[in-house]
Amino acid sequence: MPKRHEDGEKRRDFPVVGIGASAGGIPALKRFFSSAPPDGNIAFVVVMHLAPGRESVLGDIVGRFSPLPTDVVDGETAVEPGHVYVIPPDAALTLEDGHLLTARPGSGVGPRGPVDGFLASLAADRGENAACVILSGTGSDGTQGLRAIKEHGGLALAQEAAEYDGMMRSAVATGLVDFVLPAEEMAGKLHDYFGHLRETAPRKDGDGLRREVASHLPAICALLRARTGHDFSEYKDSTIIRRIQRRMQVLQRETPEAYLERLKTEPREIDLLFHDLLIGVTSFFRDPLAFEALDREVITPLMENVGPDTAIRVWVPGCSTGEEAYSIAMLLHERLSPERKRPVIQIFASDIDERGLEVGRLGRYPASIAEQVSERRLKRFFVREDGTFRVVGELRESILFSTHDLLRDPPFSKLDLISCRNLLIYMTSELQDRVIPLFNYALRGEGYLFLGSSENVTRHTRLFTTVDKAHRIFRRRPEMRSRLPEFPLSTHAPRLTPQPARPRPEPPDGSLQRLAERQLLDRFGPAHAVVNANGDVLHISAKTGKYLELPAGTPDNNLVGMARPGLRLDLRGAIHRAAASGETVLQNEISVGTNGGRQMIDLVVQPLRRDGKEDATFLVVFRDRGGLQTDDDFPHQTLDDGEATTVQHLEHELRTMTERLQTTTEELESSNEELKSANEELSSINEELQSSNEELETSKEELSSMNEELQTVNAELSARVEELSRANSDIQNLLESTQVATVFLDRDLCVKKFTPAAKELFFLVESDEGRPIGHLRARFKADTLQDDAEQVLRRLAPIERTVEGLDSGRRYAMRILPYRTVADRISGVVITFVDISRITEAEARIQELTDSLKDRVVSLETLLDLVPVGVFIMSGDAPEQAALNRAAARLLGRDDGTPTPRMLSSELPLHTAGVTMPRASQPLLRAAHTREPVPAFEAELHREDGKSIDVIVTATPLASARGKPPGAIAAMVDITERRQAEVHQQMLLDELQHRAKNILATVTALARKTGGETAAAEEATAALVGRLQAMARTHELLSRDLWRGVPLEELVRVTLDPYLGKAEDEIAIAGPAVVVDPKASSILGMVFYELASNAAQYGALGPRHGRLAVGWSVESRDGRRWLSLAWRETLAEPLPAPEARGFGTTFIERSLSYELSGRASLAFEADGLSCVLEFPLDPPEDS
Amino acid sequence: MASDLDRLRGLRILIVEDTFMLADELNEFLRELGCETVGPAARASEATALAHATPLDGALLDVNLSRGETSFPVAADLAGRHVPFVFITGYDLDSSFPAEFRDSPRISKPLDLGVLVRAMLRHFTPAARPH
Repeated sequence: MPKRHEDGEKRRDFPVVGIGASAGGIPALKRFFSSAPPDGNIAFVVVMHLAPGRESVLGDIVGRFSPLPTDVVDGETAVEPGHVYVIPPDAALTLEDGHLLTARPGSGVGPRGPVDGFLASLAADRGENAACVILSGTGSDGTQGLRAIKEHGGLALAQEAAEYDGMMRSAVATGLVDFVLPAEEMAGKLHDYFGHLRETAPRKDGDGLRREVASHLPAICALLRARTGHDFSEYKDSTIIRRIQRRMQVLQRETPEAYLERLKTEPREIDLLFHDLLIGVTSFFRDPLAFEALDREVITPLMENVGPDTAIRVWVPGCSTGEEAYSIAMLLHERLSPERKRPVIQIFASDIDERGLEVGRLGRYPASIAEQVSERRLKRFFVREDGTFRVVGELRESILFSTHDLLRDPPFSKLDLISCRNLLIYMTSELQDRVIPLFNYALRGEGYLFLGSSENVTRHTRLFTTVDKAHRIFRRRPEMRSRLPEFPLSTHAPRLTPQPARPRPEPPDGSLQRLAERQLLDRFGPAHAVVNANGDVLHISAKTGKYLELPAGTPDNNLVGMARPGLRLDLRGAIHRAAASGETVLQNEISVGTNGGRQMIDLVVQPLRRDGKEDATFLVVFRDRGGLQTDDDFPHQTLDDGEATTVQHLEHELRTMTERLQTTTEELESSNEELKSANEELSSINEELQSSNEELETSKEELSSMNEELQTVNAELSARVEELSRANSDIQNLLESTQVATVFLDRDLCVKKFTPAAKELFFLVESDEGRPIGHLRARFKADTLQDDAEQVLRRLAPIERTVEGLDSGRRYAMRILPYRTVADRISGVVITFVDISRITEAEARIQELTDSLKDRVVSLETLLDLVPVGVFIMSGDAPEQAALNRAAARLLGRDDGTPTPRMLSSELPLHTAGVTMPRASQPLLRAAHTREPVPAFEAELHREDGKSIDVIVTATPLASARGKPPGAIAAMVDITERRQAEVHQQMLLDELQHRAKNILATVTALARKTGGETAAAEEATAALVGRLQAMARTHELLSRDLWRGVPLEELVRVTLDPYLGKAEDEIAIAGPAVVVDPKASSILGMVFYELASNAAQYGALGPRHGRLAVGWSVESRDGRRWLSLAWRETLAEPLPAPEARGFGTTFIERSLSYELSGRASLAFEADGLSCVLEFPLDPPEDS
Repeated sequence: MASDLDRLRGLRILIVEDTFMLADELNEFLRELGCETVGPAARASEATALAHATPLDGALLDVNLSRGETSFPVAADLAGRHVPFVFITGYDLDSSFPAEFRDSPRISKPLDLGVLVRAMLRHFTPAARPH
């Protein structure tokens, strides 16, 4: 019974449901709570496996779908009905006295098995007002807690079809789960269950028991006995009523009658009740201190004193699932001495629960037993099998599991030890009083009795002495030997002990008469027996000893065989006759030889009738006739003698009786004394019991919490082990696969481990692990290795060396480092070898390339200095400075001898049109900035000597490494000389023009001087002079435009200039702007002159008057531009066609085709000349 | 002298000259001398074509033709076929001539007809054709 607190009463009246979940728990919780009716009478506590040290949002999650207010437990919290409480991370949650308590686990303790812990405290605190719900999760957390809940009369639910069914399977495997339901139906079930519990509460007494159930106990026990063969009527009422109440609760049967009805109609319910009654929490080494005491006080002396061929016999009645039996077996096996011959160990483990025995026989237990059994024992007595522990064969073989009812079946005998823990507590004291002598009977010599912590034999100090009072170890008194009681041990059977039976209600009416008759018969009736026709005894009365005796040889049941001398013949005859006739046979005056004399009797054999029918059974009655006669005086018997004999006989009898009375009185007195002291002891023990019960409760709680902790630690440990083995295999793989030869040495410089690559450096095989490094032959020059390693160990500073393989010619970088454990402790050294042969080669190659690069740079720099172009190089890193080559320095007017690097601001001293070049236009900066080449341009360079020269500058950006700003390079050429040449050329050109003009002018003057004598000559001279002047005009135009060509319109206008003033409106000139090349210009100049002079003489510009239109167009022909020009004169009066073609006409036609590949067509029409000129403006492609 | 001029009669002479006036004048003059003129041609390509079409006794080549053309390619072609030629040039400098033609006969513009006749007699008449 959990301890009670007065102030706790009030808070105790509402139920608390512990919900355990782990992996997959969130969706299960969601389903659980989303369907939960907002029941204000139940408090829910969610216990889930949370990652330690992490902020948990479980509270928020649950709060989101729970219809009830939800809190994360923080410190001590009073539980209120209608609330949901959520476990905080990294804490152990317990319920004590209506308060939720969190315990922060100390350092080093990680995840726990919190569900079991909480449920255990919940069970203790709430009793039948507790329920547990096991939701999805792996492992077996919750199973132990569930047992506790059930033991205290609570309700257990498990989730059907859980996502992770480990926890649920483990729970169901106990056979104690009341309902396996889908998560969404659980809340409803809890609501109904506790609703019913509340309704029935007023009907309970102070101990929470419903008295009306008690009146139905006999009927229920009878049903149980009928179905299971086990009698629970002698068990404590409260225990049984509590279990019955619970079943009623689960089934929601209002009245005991209704439940009884259910039991009658549904035999399975009897089984369920039976199993509920058998719930017993057992574990390995339950109450370890007691087992230690047992080991010390019992097992050790037993095993020390045992002979070689003797057997150690132990009985564990009520063994349940066998843990207790195995615990004792382990202790025994541990004490087996290897030197001595081994005794046979026989342990009888018995129980009435066949299911429990099955578990025991299988010997397979959940992993959680690891918290009950020490690691050493686990290792020795168990093998791991699929996450469970299985008992080893050696242990299993020493235990015999059998179905056995302590109350019904005869006990095992000649035992050295009986361990019967926590079984007597379920029995009434009367029953206990019969069981303990039974133990006395079963034990041999000074055998031991080991009881549960709340059990005692204080009422039987006659039978047992105390060995260890605290741990309930007792020893049989060898001088007291109890007799084997009759079975079944029940109050209905004759009593074993002298204590008066508890008064039982006597059956009413007719039975009283029967009792009277019975007593009458015993007291006053003659001795009799019931036999069948063969004389076999069916029943025999008291006081038959005078007539019957046990014959020699194998005893049988035959009355005739048992008859004393003198009676046998008559008896056989009488039975025979009665059987034959069916009549009563009377045989008078038979003399029977009995102890110390003869007795005269009458013999009656009467057939018995049952319900008026013959039954072939016969009542044999022995009726004394007179007293006993001695053999001596028998034949000479007289009346006086007879009287005296009678008196003598009576006196003798009286004497004997007095003696007997005396003995009995003495016995009574001593037994009274004993009783008194026993009573005293009992009351003192009762006191003690009370206090030790309290103590026990506390220590039990402590123990279970310690169990929790242990389980958690174990769970964590196994997780760690798993992690470790994973990490180990990672490391293994890493070591196997790495190319880096590595050797691990311990503090003594012995090889701990090495990678396969290390075999290249040492003559190493796997068996070399553990050998000192100095003993290994190295494949490289390892003279200093040992010293180096020692030095590293001493100074903890790494050493690095380059070593060369002896045969391979490879080079390795050897590093020797201290080996630091995770805890930063030095536990050896690590030697690694990195093959640097290729690196060395690469380094050499790099050196070679670098040298070659340097050479090239040198040649490039030399070249750069040799080129006659000024080069300025600006790097992107330092855009303010530019390097320059020798030519550039010379351009700047610097001394040639200026040592490199010659530097200059990247803003070059350039001027354009006398103005300093702005920064934005600076070629280097511009190229770098725009990343586009800067086209060549001319500028003046102001030299450092104050002079200035003309230069052409161009710049281009320099490609740079990625991410770096680009630089630029500028080239500069001095064009001062070229400029001077150009100036000279212009001067020459001017001179040439001047000369040419002068020549033409001289020729003109000469022509004028030469002619002039005759009119014809004068005319010819005039024509010559006109033509020379036309040539001079064209020449002038050409030289003005530097012989690049002349605009066509200008050419026309210059030719017609002399006439334009006269009749401007008569002349129309129109056409697109076209530039004609110098050759075509010279031709056209002559052609226009010829046409104009002809027009002045005969046509539109002459005395006849008319109009002149000069028009042209450009068109594309065969991919070339063709000029088409029309000269059209319109005369007022018609003109006769000229007879002969003059020079002009021929010239026009021939020169155009000859020199310009064109055409000229002249038509002398009546109203004036029409001339069309066509020629290509572009040169032919094939030229 | 008359007999000298007679030697020119009937010679087939190619005229290469781009300026129409000059070409025409040269053409007239050679005809008056009794020569058979081929051309005149204003372009090198035209001249080569004419030279290939007709057997020639000589050629008068104006060095500078229009639009940057020269008559050196024509000269090379003629030399390959052993046709004698005389350059007519306004240039004074040897450097304008390719090395192979530096020693070739040449006469300067403006043409002195006497010089022309002497050059033709010297280079074109059969007696003067040892090379």
